[in-house]
Amino acid sequence: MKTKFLLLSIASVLVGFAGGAAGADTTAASKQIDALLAQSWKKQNIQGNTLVGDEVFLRRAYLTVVGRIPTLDETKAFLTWQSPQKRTKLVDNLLASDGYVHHFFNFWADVLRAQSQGVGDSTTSLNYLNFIRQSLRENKPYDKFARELVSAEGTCFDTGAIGYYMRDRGMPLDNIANTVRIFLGTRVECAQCHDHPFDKWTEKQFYEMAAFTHNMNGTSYRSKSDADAQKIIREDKSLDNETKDLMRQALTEAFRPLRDTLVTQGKAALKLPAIYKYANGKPNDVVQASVMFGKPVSLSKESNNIQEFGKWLTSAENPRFTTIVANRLWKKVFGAGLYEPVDEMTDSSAASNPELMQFLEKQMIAMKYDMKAYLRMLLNTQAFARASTKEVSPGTPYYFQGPVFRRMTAEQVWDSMVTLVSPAPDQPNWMAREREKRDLEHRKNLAGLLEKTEAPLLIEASKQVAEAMREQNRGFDQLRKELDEARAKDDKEKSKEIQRKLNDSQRILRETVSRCFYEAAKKSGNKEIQAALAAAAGGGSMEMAMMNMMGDSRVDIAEMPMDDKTMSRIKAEEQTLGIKDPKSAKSYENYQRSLHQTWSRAAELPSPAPRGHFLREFGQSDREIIENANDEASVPQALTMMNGSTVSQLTSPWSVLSMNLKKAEKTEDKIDALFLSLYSRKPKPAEKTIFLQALETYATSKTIWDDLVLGALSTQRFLFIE
Amino acid sequence: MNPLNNELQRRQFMAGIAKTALGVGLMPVTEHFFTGKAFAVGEGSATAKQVPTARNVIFLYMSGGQSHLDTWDPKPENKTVMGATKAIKTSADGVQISEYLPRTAKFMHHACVINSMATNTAAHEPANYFMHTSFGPRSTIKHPGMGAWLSMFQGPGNPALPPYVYVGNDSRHPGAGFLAKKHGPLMVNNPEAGLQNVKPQKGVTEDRFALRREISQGLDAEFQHQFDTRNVKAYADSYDDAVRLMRSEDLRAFDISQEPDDLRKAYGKDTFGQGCLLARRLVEHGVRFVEVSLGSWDTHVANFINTPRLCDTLDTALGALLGDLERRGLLGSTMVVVTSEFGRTPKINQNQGRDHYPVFSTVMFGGGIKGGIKYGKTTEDGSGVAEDKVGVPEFNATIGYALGLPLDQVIYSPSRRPFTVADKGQPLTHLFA
Repeated sequence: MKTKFLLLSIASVLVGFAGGAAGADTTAASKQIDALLAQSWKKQNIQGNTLVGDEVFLRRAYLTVVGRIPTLDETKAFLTWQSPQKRTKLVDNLLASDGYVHHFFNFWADVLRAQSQGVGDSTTSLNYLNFIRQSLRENKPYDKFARELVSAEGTCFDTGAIGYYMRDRGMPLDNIANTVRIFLGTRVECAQCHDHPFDKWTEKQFYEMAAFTHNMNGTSYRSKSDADAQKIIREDKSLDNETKDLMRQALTEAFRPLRDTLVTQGKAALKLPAIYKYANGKPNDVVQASVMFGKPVSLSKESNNIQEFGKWLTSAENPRFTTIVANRLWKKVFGAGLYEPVDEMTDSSAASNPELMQFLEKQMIAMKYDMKAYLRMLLNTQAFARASTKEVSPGTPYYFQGPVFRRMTAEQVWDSMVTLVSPAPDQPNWMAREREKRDLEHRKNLAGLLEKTEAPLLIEASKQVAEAMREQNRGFDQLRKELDEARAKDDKEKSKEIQRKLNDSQRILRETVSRCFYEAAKKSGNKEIQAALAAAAGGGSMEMAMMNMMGDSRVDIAEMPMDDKTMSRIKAEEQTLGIKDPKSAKSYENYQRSLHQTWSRAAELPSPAPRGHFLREFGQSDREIIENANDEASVPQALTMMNGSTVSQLTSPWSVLSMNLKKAEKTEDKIDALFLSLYSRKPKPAEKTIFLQALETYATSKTIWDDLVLGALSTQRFLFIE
Repeated sequence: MNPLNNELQRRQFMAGIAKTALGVGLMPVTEHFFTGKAFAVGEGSATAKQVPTARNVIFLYMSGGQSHLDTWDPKPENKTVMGATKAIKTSADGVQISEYLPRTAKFMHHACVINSMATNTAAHEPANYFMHTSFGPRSTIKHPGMGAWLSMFQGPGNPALPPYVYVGNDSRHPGAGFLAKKHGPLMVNNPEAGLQNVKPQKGVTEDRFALRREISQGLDAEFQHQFDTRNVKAYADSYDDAVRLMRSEDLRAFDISQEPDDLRKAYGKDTFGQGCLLARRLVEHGVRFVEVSLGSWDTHVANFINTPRLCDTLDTALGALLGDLERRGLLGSTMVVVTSEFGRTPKINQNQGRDHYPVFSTVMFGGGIKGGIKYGKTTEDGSGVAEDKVGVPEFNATIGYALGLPLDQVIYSPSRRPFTVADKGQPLTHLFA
């Protein structure tokens, strides 16, 4: 009984989520992969690499599945866990954890070029990122995920997936080139302007494919009542042109928060370019949608083009759809694809192990595109548990004697640092997620409200705003006079003050817009509007309702819920730190409360992180181009590691690493804790010698452990995955 | 008082440990910080197709769409178009500019104003991208900025410093585009802060810094031996290079606090002014392409308050920069360019503002350009190009020509698509002296 209990508790430490992922049994399939690899090794007269020990396996499994190194507790628990199935169980636990969502979000955000600030207003972008997160969280089958993306239309309140088309708004030809590259692993962008020089695709074929999706338009949400109001203003002969302009502008201002929140499917015909030069078509010929390979798609007048396109694209019968994702995920686990590059397939592409590739495709289909099941199959192979191969030369086939040795991705480096600083490394970025949630709700309410506010009321509001604008313009004349005087006297202070007054008047105007449209909505006979206004006021005054709906949401960190588990964790940490007085305890609690704002997993920070952030320095993709991350060394990276203020926070007394070092009493235990924390293993004797010698040489230094920690972090050993 | 002078001593201590404990020596150091390749000044420019007229370019980018009418292309005869803006005479006969640029007016005998610029879009992002790269934005590829082309063709001006520096905060700057990352600009947000992370954290003494390096190298020695891959070697080198950079004299290039106070003041104590001063220092130290950006030109509202305010910032910095370059004898070899993504409407809108307009003006000073001239014309109401229309690729080709870049040399992207500098634009060679 006692042993059983102990085992359970160890298993639950491993990822903080003991749910496990029962799922389908993939044992036989994993064995079959190893058998197929062994066959090819025999043919090539090579052997598999040696099997690795638990330490290397543990670190590799964490980085591969959840994208970070294991915590000290997780490492200790695994290394002391006495179970013959512990590796399999670890994989299951990792796949079931939040860490999986974070790590694979980074992967897909990079493939899909998903950006927090991708389009003018961020509502759609943020909801798009959440769509990706949610799809991974619920382990949505890959084919469904892909279909939802390429068949998305409507508002961002209907589905975050519209971000897929919004991302490329105004660039439908680039969009289809990206779609074909991402989901079919085929490069057709050359054929956008001429027949492909290195592949068989013609410009005509490119246009035929584009004809499915070129009508997807990213646009701004405007209501029916707005269209009615615009029409009334246009036709009203009593209004002069300036008033009409001002009123139209007022309406635009009211709808501004709903910019870029709608994707619609138009009906325009796609034509060949005016300079088309091939015999298979004439310039400006209308192009009929037609697929580039596989089962032909027939469209009728009633067909929904993108639905039909999505079905064709993601069908198991599509000759490339399954291959590409099977190979992509293989590469994610093993560091190289069976086909390379993964997204530049041609008819002459050959997999390094064709039987294995075929097997993987069949498995993917049999698993109904369940990505976790597929990954579980790969992670339970013996191949994954072999020593890594140092380098694979580009252009030479690799037979997977083991995974490929590689540098961590930027996200893995950052997330591993988060693991050393934060006691809850996988916690969500509450502040950011909460703000998004509120923003989205407000925008949705605003759309609903403006939709229901009758056109005459909208007109009344826009008339009032127009009047305020006219007033503001008169103020501009006065300001300009003052500015002339200030400039004549070269009075910089006065000139700055004028700028401040100008900014103030802009703020006042924004308030006027929300006030006038609020008053219009209030006059509406529609009861739903009154209910919506009351709801949006959020307990504050009714006047605040519209301001809330139009403005950026404010979130107070004090509102963050703290559950009992978190609180007892914090209490335990206070004990370790020797925090006793209430004031210090409060400040430690506040520190833990706000830690996620800086020390969140990369997937919970803006995508991509802002320029200059640690993540960007280490090569995080700018998410402008598909899979645009890089793992190259640079001088700024070295400078960041040696002198950066972010890195130095690892040695702050409140970092998890510092607390763990504090808990270890004897010097040798401290050295062990440091090695287990950073490298997931104990030091070798020679390594211990280095530390002991340094401790002896600098015996009087109070900062010696800080120096040891940052010295040990600033290594290639830390950055690379064995 | 370099905190790292003693590093060598410490290294020896550690090298001892590494040898005895692990049986391997430390990695050797390599040559250069940012490029990994040695270039003497001017070396590598053998690919130039013509004799360059300029060694350096300082590219001043007016982000948001600068009103051409209220700066470089006033229409003094036309009150309806001009609103409150007036024109003034300049140091060049027959060249009038706006009253908001009095300091710059004194240098117009060095300037060539192009009044007939035309772009193909009036949306910020694509127009900005077009101006920086000569290509329309595509979501399948990113094109390089001019500084990256220069670095790729001719290498860095000073191998100890980055080849290309951008002072500003536009996160969408195209940078190196599809070229290798090392050709991209070093991004500087705050010109007064100097280079990031080149000094140890506060409290980290020479001894402590050295100890950390020793620990790192001691722990890595065996690892580097076991995994002697290209990238692991590159990392070892990058640390050595970083330490050398920390000690380098060339770092002073980034330290504008070494400039006299009155000069710093003359440039204007704002980010743009100090950025222009940094640009001059960098150019002196061998950085050949520096971009400094000034934002907020998107004057849809209250153009006649916002534009004069912005012009004050521009005029102060530009006047100081041109004077400074001239005094130091650098104006002949340094081209100063002022440009924007597009211009603004001759029609004054209902908010006393001007909206986006695809017609605009640019200016080039020095760097071999003919001074005191205007090129091209807009119609009397400023609504269109009347003569000698100049497209964005022609404009960029002219800068490339000044730098001696091989404009017709085809370079393939990693996706094997062919590109040339300035997308086949023809340089305006007759604008050179």
